[in-house]
Amino acid sequence: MPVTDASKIISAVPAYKMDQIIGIVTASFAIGAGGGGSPVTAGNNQTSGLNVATYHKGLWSVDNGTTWFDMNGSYLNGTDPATGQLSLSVVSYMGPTGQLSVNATNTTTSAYTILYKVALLARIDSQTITPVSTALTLNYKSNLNYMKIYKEGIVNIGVGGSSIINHGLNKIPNINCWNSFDDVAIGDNLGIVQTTVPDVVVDNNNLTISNPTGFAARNFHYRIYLDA
Amino acid sequence: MLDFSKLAAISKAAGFQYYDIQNFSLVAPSQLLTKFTGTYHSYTTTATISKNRLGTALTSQILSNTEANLDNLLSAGQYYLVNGAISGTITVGSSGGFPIFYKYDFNITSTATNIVYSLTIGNPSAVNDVTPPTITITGKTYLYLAPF
Repeated sequence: MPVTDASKIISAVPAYKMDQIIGIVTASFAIGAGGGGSPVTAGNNQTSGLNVATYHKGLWSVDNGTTWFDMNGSYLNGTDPATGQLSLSVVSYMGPTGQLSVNATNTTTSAYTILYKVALLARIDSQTITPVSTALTLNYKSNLNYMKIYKEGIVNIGVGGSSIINHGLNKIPNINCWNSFDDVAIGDNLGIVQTTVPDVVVDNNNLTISNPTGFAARNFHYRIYLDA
Repeated sequence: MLDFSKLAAISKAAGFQYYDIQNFSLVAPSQLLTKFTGTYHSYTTTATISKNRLGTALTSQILSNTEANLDNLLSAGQYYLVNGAISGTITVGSSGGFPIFYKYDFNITSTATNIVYSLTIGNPSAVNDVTPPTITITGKTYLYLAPF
């Protein structure tokens, strides 16, 4: 039956937003072998063309795209008595003028060529944007888990502090979180659990973001996706 | 009143198109990790979820968000957002004033057909043998496509 009364269509657009990809960056760079515990670093910068720091999520590969790691993941190769593991890790960072920096730290004893892909997302205070067109078939059926609507916000957390955001969904939602400095530059997508980097924890009612001692006060941008 | 120009914006972009949500669980049983004597003694266990619905052609377009509960670090019902990896050390005792600890690495990779979760625990100590408790990691991964 055709829709004849447009007011009966409930649009999520005015009340809630959805992730919008406004750019794609792909590139590669080489990194030399580490010294078995002595780290070697490498990376490169790519201009996004957007002139503003955006949120971002990406993938990287060491075997020309056969296997992929999420940004902030690590490729473990070899052993080291001091640390227990030799690893290659890759993180992404967006500068205030839209320059995407992807950096790797390698303590393994092998050299690699790192291929990466990063999707750039419109941020909470984006002005007029033009999202990237997609060639994929878009599914609007909720049972196919189409694009998710979210609640978002920014919290400022001091040194050693934490912030609790009540989502009240009575279930574990999907979340994303980025850290920023003065709301200008945008750091990598958070989630690493270590003693010296911020943590992101979610339960049935709350999202808790922690900024451990040793990290300067900063803003954290978060998104809590409302449907499963 | 509905603004149809906003519907056009939704149709065009691309947000991440969510494709699947899968649960995972992996367990590293309690076992003796002998001290380092030239080779780092470690134990790795893995869990795998299939990407059958996605097919191999879409592997390089798949991003994921994983939320996991590490039962040694979090209370029941709490989940860390894990973007790629978690690693750290846990102290299980002391001997002669020196802490006895083990190291863990939880890592996520995507192959042509699967998402693979790996948990490696090990004893980097040159002093003591270590027997960590049974470690269980449970969670879910949201898989979604990007227009790469």
